[in-house]
Amino acid sequence: MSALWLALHFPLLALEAEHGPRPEPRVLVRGNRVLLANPAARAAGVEAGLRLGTARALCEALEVHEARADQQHQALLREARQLLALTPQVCPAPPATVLLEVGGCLKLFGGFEQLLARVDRYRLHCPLTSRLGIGPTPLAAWHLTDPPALDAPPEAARFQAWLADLPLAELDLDERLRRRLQAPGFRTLGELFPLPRAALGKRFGVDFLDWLQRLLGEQADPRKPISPPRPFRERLDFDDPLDDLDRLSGPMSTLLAKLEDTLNRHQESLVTLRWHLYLNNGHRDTLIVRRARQGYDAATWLDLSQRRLSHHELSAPLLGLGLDGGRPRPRNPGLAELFPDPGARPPLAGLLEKLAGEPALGVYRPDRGDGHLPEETERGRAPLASPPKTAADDQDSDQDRPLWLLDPPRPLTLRDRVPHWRGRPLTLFPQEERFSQPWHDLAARRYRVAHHPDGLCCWVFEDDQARWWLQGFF
Amino acid sequence: MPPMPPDFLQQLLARRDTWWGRESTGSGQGQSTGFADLDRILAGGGWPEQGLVELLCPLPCPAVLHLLLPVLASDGPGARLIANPPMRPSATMLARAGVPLDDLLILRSDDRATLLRASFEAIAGDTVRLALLWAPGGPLPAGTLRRLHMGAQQGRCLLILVRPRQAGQQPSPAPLRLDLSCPAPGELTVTVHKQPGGRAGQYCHLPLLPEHLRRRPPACRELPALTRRPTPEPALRTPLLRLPAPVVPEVRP
Repeated sequence: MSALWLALHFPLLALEAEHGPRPEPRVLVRGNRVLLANPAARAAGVEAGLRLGTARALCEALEVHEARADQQHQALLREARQLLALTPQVCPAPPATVLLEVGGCLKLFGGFEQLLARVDRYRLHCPLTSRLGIGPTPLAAWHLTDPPALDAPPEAARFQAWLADLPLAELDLDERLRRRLQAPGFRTLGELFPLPRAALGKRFGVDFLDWLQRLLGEQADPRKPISPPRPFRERLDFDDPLDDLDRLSGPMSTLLAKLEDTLNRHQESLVTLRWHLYLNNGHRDTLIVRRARQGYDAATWLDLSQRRLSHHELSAPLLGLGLDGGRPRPRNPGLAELFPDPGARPPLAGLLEKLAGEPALGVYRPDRGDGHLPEETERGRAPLASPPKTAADDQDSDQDRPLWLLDPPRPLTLRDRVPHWRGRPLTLFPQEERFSQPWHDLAARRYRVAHHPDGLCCWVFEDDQARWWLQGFF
Repeated sequence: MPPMPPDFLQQLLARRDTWWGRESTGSGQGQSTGFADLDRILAGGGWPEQGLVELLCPLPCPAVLHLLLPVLASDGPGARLIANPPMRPSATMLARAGVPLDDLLILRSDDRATLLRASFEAIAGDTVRLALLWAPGGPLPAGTLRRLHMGAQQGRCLLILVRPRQAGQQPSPAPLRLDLSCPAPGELTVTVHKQPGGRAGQYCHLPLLPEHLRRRPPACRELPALTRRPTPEPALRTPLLRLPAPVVPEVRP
């Protein structure tokens, strides 16, 4: 088994890190200079190194983005984690390349061709523009991009020949070193191969010699692979099948104590946790326990899990219990208050977590939404949902609106063309307000305020078929 | 009768559920209701800080929420809870009244036991500052009410329980009970049914809706001006063309 490296270059990573490839012309700038241009911008004549003003003159609809190194790094790490599906040896090589060692997993994927097919499938679904390189060493894979169609791993001599054809002007080296290499009249890398190595080192520096030896595989080129995220998964098997859920609290706290220990060691916390109940009939029940914010303390998790479990019914005796910690997140402890306020109350999140686990309870937090009709502008937010980024604003704050809404509206009976509620007539106000319907073929609702003899102030409307409905109370 | 040992009496008085008759005679201990007339007839000068308050009214009483909007909107730490409301409280109007929607939670359940259990948990958990609970159907025994009162005291929560008016005939452990009625749309009459340190039977009228909504609509469609919402005064209004005063012909005897 010989080493085989793949390199995935993302040449436009800095531009595409946020929104992916776009057909519109876009450029990345730093300090009023164009750093990178996408194909649409290049077609308009915009190139790296131009001034921003010149670029705008060349292309009117140019979208300009500022370079952000952290976003680019995050995007690269995200792609590297995706590629962990192919091999455990995934080494990000900033700024925009990921190196994969695939020599060890050819057999797993059923041969070289199958592996390349998987890589092609990944590139097809990847939201970034990518180029593939292949080589026996990481540096060779970096340079030998866009290989011809291959059905078997190329032999060493073939790689050597490809490397020999590389023009010196395109090597990933320092600009001054490249000029020094080209000064004696060398054009390709192959022209340097027959020269004595000691003389090369003396003339172009030890660093270049080291680079060349790593490129050709004469010297080791260790790379640090990323470590995959490490979920917590544990399973306890019972000697006798359990059919009483109350006896689960012991095994649960054992598993949760282990989880807390692991989380503390890695300074991580969790938002969601899954319990797997392995049943005697071969089925597996999964219970999901969620929290409003990240947590790591076993006691709260145990309390929430028991609440969740109390609403669960077993269809068969229990053979085992599994705990899946999901995706841990780095813990980010806020600053603790030095002198806490003596009258302070615990945050609402703790109560929400407990109430959200009750299936028979409808809990929501009222919120405003966008909509045509009064009942649509009201929206209930789920207890553990995060607040919306943009709150809908109060569009008609100069109009009277009821404090209570009936959803759906209730029909009113009509006697002598006067609407009645609970058998008594409503006295309608003369002013009318129209609400357009979301569908064009429906006529607008005509809203009126009305007084009811029981001391109620109602909001009623008449639809296009002269039927009256009660929408709410003031 | 043998003399009672003094430490026993002290123990009895130290119990949290012992109700001192003249506990809150000093006015100004409570939080203002937002209605000066109501504050005047309540012995504590407003709602108590914690504990159970019963409102007896014909259900559904939309005016109850109007009565409690000022205290829902008052700022302070702690969440607000509305449990088992008869209809959907409008988020738009709550926000207009200044109620912080992020701190407001609404509970609903068709199952009576679940609703009471969840409400008790929320009240006693020290997270909620004000809870508004519409009593679920069926009888509420004194033990349940007492547990709610104790839970509210433990959790420093003002629990307002809305019950049908017939419940006023039964005794209740709630220290403060108020009787509500709507004589006309947008108006509320509050009568004190029972209060600690004060007299029962006092009442006040509270206007809850703006003037143009309370006014009875005219029988004739040509007179809509009285019920029209007043338009805000524009800053600069063009002066009306002033007509000369009509000349009154002098009548000579």
